[in-house]
Amino acid sequence: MSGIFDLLTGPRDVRPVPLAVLAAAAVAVGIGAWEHAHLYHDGYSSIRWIGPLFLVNAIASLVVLLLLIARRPLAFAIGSLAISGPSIVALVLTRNGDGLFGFRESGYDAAAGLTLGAEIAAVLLTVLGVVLARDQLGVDPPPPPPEDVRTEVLV
Amino acid sequence: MSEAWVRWVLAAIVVVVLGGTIVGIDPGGDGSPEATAPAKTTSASSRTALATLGVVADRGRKTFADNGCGGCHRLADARSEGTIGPDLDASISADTLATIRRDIVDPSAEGTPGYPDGRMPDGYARLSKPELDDLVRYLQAATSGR
Repeated sequence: MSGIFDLLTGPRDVRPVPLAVLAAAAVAVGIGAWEHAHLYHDGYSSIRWIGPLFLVNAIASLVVLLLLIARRPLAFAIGSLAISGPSIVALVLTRNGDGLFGFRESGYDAAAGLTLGAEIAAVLLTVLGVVLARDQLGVDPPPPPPEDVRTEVLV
Repeated sequence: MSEAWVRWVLAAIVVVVLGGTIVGIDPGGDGSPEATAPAKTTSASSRTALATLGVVADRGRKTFADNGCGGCHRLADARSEGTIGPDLDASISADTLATIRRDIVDPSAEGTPGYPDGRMPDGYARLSKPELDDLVRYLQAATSGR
């Protein structure tokens, strides 16, 4: 519980460059979410498991975007990776082997290509933003404690 | 304009655009008659054909439902209104049993005008032969007389 609290009360400001990269990641997350929501209403809502997951993706993405706007960059980064990573895996799974939850598709049409591209961009940009702002986001390990300085007392 | 106002405006834009899409306001449908027409009702001919099939129709209807076919296809008897794939009421009414079977197990063999190739899941060859037989006969009966 304290971990979630720390995320929401953690560092709020990052430098302009990593913030711009995270904002670009947010745009990619938004595109992926819009496409998922659009496909949900375009017939996927009736597909068992897949339909509800499309809706979960869109709603979770909306929350994550609001986290970045509310100056919670670390929470945004974790949320972005938690949404986009599994989305990429799911997209690939539906086109290979037994599919995902028994649902299979072939090839990548425009909607699938746009979604996959957006999710990959979201992952790459989020990782880049975190790397650029790692010192501000507390990703780096804490600095070692100062050496024990012995003071000689002159009598 | 203060930074706080900029954030509020951004949040409002995100909520309106993405939230609106999530709840289905202007989902961006293609506006084609195929996508917007209400589901048709079953015809007298198809009701007769389904009644003749009896339990076979029931099993075929169950196979149709269990495999999520209605998620992509419109079929009046199944009360499904999927629009990703072809409207089955309109597209297979004159098809033979062999054609319907081929379209299920090998969907890329012959495309349907207006629909991209490769969109139909190609895993339905995994259905057992009895399931496939029931499904094919059910689909032909449910769309007969269209």
